Amino acid sequence: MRLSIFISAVMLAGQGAMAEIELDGTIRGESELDRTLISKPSWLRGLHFAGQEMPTPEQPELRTVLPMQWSGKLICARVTSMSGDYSAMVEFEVPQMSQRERASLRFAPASPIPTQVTPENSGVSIEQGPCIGDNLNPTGGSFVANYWNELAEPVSMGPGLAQLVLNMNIARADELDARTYLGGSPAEGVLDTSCNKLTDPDALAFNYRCIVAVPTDAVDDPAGRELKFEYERIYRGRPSATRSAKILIGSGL
Amino acid sequence: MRIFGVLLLIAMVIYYVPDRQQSFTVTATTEVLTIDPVSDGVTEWEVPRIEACIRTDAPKRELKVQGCAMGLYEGVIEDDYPTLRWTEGYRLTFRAYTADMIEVLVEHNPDALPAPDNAPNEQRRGEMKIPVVTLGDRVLTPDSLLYIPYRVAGERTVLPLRGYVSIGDVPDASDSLLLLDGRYEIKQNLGLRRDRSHLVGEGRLFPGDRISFALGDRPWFVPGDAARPKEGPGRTNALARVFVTDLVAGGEGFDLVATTEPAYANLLLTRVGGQPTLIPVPWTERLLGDGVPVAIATLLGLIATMIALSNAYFAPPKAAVRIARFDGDRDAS
Repeated sequence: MRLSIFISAVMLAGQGAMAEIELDGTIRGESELDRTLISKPSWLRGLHFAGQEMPTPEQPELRTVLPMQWSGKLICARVTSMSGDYSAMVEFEVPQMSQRERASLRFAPASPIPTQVTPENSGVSIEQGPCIGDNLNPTGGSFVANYWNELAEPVSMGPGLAQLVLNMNIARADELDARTYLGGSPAEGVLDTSCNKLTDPDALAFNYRCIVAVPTDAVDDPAGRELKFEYERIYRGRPSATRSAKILIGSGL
Repeated sequence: MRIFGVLLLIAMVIYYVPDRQQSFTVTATTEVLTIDPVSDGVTEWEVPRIEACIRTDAPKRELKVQGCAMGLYEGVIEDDYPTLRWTEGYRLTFRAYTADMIEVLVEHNPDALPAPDNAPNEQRRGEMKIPVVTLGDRVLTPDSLLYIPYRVAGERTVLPLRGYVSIGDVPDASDSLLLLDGRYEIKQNLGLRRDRSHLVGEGRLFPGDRISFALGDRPWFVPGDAARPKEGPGRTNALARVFVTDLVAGGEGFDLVATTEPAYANLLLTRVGGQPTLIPVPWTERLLGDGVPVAIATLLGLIATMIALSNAYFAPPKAAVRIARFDGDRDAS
């Protein structure tokens, strides 16, 4: 199976003169996973804001905001189907940017990626750094949240709250004890976070889903905000060491 | 006679080819068993001793129980035949713990129906009121752990349950808990005595196998829903009765026997490196497993033999006549 991704850019007016850029991705790895659940550093298999469901698109679509600190650097988008039947790594080179850039990422019309790939049964994580195996730093990779095949209209979890979804590959866990901090520390705010084991028998490449309630003013913040997500696995009565990820949001996709 | 034989063969094929209800018995030594208990009321266990780690972020008292982390669990030790009361809506995972103790993880089943409004002992998960499991007069919260000794003062502990089971687990990590050894039998109701089941398949389970009982489709010619077993909403598994115990003191893992109720179901086997597979029962196995066709075949064979013998002894020796004529002709020439 061959996957091609490109980021289409359309210059947009307003919202701090934020633009949308277009990048062509380079496929660095595309394979069928081995359907095993060994906990690897790349525990975060998908990260997206839940959006209003889109009419069935002809092609999968991905949108995000590229932070300033990623200017001129390589980023890697990892696509994983929940069943583990499909995975792909697509590398992008972010151009020099003078400001945060809005990006609309979408698969090319000719992509043979299965049309059944949806936000429910697949995940995409976009991480700073080249696509070299599972290169997530277990003590704190840096991700951007994205919309995966959905419109840029967050699903509300209550007044002023958007729903951030993390699809995770966790082995040896009876439960996850997870927290999310706005601004990277408890001082700025602790966000409501809940994690559940997926009961779908096909949930092999990722088997836990965490939901974070993110204030929409943080999502819309033109200056961008940072979340720190951290968790411990609790297995047979004992907690594991803490793992965490830095999640960059903002500019209100 | 030939027509009768052909008709009999066709009748047997028509009778034995379609799938039918079957039940399974699995006996295994395993390190892990998962069961979603089902009962018409409340299931009770009364065991000599239970140690419990009740999940709570704010323990009222700190009592170290087994390896449970202080601060996450409230430790409880009950050693005077405490009663454990189950209701539906929970998933229990039995795991080998030490040579003399089993561990049970008590999880709320996210697919379960909420508890009725008038259910006692308020317990909520999010917005939903969930049914309550109790140990004595304590409510067990979801994600609690129980530690039950296999034997107390020489008395063996037996834990019976009824529900939807999954035996063993496919290795997915370096310290996976596994099914160690086991075997299965498949029985079906065949022949004229429909109340008696016949063995139509059996086999051995390998270490690392995972076994469950998957409901199949009812054949088109079987009327009504009565043929389907009682099942929960959205269920695709067949109900089983199971008991857990430790047959050999000090051995690895624990032992269980699980038997399903007759249903249009299949044994679902997941083996490392392979896709989940339904173990088939060929119609020829049904034929071989049924005594009636064997008896009919034997009877027909006897009849045919008797006819052949009677022909040999009482019918005119035509072959001998032909030989005599041939010899006569040769002599004449």
